[in-house]
Amino acid sequence: MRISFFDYSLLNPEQIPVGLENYERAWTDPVFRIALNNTLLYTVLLVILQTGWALGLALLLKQRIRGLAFFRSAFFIPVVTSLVVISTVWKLMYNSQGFINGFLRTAGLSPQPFLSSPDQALLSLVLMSMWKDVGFYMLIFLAGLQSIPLDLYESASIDGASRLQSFGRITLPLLRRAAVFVVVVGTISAFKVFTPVYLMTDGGPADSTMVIVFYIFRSAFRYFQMGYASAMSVVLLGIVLVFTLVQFRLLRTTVEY
Amino acid sequence: MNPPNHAQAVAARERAGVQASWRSQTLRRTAGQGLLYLTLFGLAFLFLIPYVWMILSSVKPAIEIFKYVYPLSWRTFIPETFTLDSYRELFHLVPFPFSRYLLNSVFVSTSVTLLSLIVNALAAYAFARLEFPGRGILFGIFLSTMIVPFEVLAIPLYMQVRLFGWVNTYQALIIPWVANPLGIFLLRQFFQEIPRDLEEAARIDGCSYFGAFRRVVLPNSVPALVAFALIRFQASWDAFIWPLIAAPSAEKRVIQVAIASFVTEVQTRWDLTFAASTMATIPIIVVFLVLQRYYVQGVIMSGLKG
Repeated sequence: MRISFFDYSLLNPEQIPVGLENYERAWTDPVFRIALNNTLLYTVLLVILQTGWALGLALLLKQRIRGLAFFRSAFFIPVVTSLVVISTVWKLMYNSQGFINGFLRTAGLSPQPFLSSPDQALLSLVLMSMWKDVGFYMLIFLAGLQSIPLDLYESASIDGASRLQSFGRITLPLLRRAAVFVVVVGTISAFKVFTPVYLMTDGGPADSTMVIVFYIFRSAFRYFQMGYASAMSVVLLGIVLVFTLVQFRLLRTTVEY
Repeated sequence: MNPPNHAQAVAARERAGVQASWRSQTLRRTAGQGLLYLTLFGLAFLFLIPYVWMILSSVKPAIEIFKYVYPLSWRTFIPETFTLDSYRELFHLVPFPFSRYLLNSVFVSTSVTLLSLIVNALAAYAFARLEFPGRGILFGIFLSTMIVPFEVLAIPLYMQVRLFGWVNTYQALIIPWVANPLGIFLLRQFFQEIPRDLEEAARIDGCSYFGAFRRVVLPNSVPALVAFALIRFQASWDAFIWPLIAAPSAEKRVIQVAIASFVTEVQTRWDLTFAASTMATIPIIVVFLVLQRYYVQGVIMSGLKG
């Protein structure tokens, strides 16, 4: 944190104190603005999509079915695969020569540019991240679903509640804790996205996938502006702290049953 | 009309009705099940197809990888000519064969896992059982460091490592990841649930403090220790930003950085990339499938309690 108040470059061992100048620079830097906006957009899209899908998958797997272990493992395998490998493989899948475009063309649709278009690149990253992480959040929801006592559903159905009603009145409220966890942890981890950007788009095209951590990394380790990068790290820390506090507040009120 | 006959007829009609509705119910249930399975298989396909593509492409000759993308057919995925050339070439790369990066990763991840098991289990035991002044405060400080994400610490940590002269060394890749507050937290929870009497009995039988820990507490904590070890190993194996910053030299490069360096090269050799990705992925997936029970438990523990 101390470094953020200095004009500190790895090429120049001398540290020059500059007070708040690095923070002022972050405030007026248009690229930092873009990075903030992109990170926010990425986070909102990803959290909404992955929370919905995770809940859907958990509900599908909650039923007593044969082959449950197979499906659960299948959905979970991307979670235990490294992001480097996933980014690499998906970069090729999104490629104009990749099989997604092969599929689109075979189905008679027009091929899409995906990562090479400023309009689609960020969304393509969101889809990939969702595919990777949804299994993890599904597990959290599954654990939440399993902790709901079955008698609640029985008494509800004796009282004449439909399945939809008992879902809305029993399942959703009692999943609150799991849902808060999924949303907050998902938000924090989305805010720190780096690897897919580094490997798949390098922040482009036209800064459309420039995100905070990647910008910090680029400033520090490509342009050696350690002071400026540290100032931006402090801003990132502030944002993450706010989300963490929100999580603590929301989790303190637990529903009793 | 004959009354008994009438009653019989009504009963028969009712029976038929019941049977019909029962049949339609089973039919509906079977249809519902079919739809459920169709959905599940469709989803499983979406989750697994990138792996199928990756593995099968790694045993194709380089020119075949993109040859049959359009129109989509079995040849898009299934290799026409099966070859292990890309693997063979990986092990003869200059300046270092790929096995070097693989071994770097194995060494770093194993060290991180073993050291962090020892250090965190001891710390957790101290927090669970020993009475010492400032225990609560110290534990609170440990826990609060969990809030600060690594991405924020990357720059100061890098400066520190540079100051020690550790850039491009194994220490830089291992030492910062040994102490793990989440591990201390989880193992402490687990140790606290072991009945104290067991340890006291061991002490009466002449065990030292450490002896009781080693012979009573550890054997009773195997599931927690396995779960923690798995999570640490995977995190270390998948780590990317830190090794990219702290040990970029080819000599100390770990497998993830090596794969990334294939991708960011000007002329990417996709056949090599696929083979390398397969090697980095399949061992972890196999370990996960075998030890799934512990792993899932660990994820849920770290998820819901943390």
